[in-house]
Amino acid sequence: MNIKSKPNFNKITNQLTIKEYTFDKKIIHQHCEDWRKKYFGDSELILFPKTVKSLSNIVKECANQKISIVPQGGNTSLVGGSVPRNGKSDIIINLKNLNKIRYLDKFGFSILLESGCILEDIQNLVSKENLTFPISMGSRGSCQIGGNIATNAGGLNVIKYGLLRSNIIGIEAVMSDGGIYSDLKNIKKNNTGYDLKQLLIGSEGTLGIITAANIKLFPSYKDKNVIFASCNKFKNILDLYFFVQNNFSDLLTSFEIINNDAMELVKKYNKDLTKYPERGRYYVLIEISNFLGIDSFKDFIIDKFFNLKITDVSLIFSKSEKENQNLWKFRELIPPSETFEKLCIQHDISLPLDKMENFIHTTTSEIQNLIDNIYFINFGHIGDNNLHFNILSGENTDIEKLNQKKKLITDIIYNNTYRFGGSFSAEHGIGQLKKKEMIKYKTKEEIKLMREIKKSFDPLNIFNPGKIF
Amino acid sequence: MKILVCVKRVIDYNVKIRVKSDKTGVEKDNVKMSMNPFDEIAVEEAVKMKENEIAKEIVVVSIGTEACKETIRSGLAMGADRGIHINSDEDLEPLNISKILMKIVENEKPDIVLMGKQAIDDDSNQTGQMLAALSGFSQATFASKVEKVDSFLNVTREIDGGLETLKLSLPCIITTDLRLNEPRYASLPNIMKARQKKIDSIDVSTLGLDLSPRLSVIEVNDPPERKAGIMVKDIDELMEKLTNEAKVI
Repeated sequence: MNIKSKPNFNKITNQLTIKEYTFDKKIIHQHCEDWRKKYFGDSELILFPKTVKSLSNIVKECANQKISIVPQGGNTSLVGGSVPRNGKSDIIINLKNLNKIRYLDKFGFSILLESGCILEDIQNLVSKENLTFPISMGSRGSCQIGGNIATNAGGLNVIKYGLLRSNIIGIEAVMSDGGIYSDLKNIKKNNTGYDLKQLLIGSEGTLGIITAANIKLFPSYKDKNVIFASCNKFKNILDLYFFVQNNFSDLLTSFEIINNDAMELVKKYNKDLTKYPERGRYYVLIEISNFLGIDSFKDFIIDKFFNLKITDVSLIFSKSEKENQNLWKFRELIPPSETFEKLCIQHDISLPLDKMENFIHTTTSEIQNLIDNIYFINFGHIGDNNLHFNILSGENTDIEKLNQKKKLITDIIYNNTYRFGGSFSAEHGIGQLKKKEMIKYKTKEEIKLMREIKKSFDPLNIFNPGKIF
Repeated sequence: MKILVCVKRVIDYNVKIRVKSDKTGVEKDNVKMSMNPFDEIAVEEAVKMKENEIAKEIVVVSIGTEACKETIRSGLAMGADRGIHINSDEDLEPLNISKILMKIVENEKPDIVLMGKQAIDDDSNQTGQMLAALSGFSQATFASKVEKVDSFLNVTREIDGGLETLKLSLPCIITTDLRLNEPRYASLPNIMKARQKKIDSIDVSTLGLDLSPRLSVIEVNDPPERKAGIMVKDIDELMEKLTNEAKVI
């Protein structure tokens, strides 16, 4: 039984105009369910503040009344990090109205913008200036940059631009007492004590509410070429990775692997794809982008590939952007194709490159001992050590048995990931989904330090409680 | 049998075209260029004919700047045997392109000339027909199927009412449509082989042709932006708008 007195929401909504909040159950309902429909919480009030000042006042009032807050962006979390808990009287603060571009510095290659800006809008805006935004992911049409930063989201171009956290020059955030933390200086070097913004990046809304950020921009590319490889040995993939890194260095924008089960899945459900690469146990999609404005870029790439000494790899080169897109479909259509089968158990893990083959081999045979007639969908941004290791049902799968073994399978995968020196969450974060793994696989020392940091930033535990820990 | 395939280097189909600020043309600097997709279909058809032992030799010809050699090499990587590059920095109109191609036809004496039905940059759809007129070869445009029957080619073409099949005597000119085939990917070994294949370079000025333009471009503009739609309350309002505003009823 909740013995807390009924919160006085008037004192909160007083800070806002009538359009910046609602008690409407229908609207709140949409913000209480996560994208994958796995988590469903409740809330009596949702706020859409338009200014940092009003947000600061709100948080101050929430701290007074000890009202817990779920900060929310585009609500595209894959781990239940952006929805309220059930029956805990969390209120939601959605940042969508805090969406101004404050400053675009073409010469300094940076952009200062507010949290509610939608990722795709930012990408379009900077591309008009012939610049590239370093962050991109599947959910770009709805996710907000504040949420991207709060979750240190991964995505498509990490191999070229580095992790999200390496692209953040400065951050502004409202802290748990309503104070405004700001290090928005437009400078890349700033070595002055603890780098506090790094704690806020990836904190999943538990340490503060990010309101604005200064983010690096990069020059644009003229064109890009996709090269698609088919091979039978994992060693070929590593050799190829070494080769393209050595020859193209930062022109390399993607290096994705796809295993045969994943390729066959895409072929099965996408009959419009008629031209296939040569068959292999593994496929690699390599994308090389022309940041140097080279005229005959294809020739430039082919010149380098003349020195490729790797045998047993069959390679095709795209001739046009249309072929680029066709080849990308073999990678991009994997997740949507998975949804056509009855059951898919997903794992977003990362592993050291030199251990990956052994991991896949060991884990696959351990799971095959538990249940047969299942498919192993392996794909991912291998250039960033990321591997999606998904177990998929097929026509002959005993679904009931697979459902029973689900937990066991996940345990095998995470245990082996740990054993081979990997991480149980490569890019999706912890949220509510992986709290148990957090305790199981992180060291006691790590958890203790994290808890101390949480206590020092948010002593009343009002920011996104029930997430991460 | 010898096939001549004409290919044009154009702005890639998937690139968003930008009109130059002075409206004299479109922005070509720093954009991705590729082989005209219809010409790629023509190359694929030629290569298939060679695989089916209908043709013995495939020659790819392209007219334009030095960069066109890359486009020719794309064709060689698909399976063509050699290339001819006519070097010209001018933006040439279809009639002049046809005249240049006529010179090549005179030299090479191909049995079949293949090219795309049109280039996706200017959408002229003229070069094949003009070359047929200049050469007196039989012609079939918009081909969606090509079959060899005895010493003739049966070409199925897409017309407004459906399909029409023509029986062509050789030599002939065929312009290719989208549904004829799906061009293959280029594999590394074939790209390597293409590097060894010969590309002859000919400067356009040595052909002794009058290439002065008959057309001049006055202005290039963006297509008008589409207005956003509106929501109407009910059928009555819809009818009112269709009658009085759109004036379509």
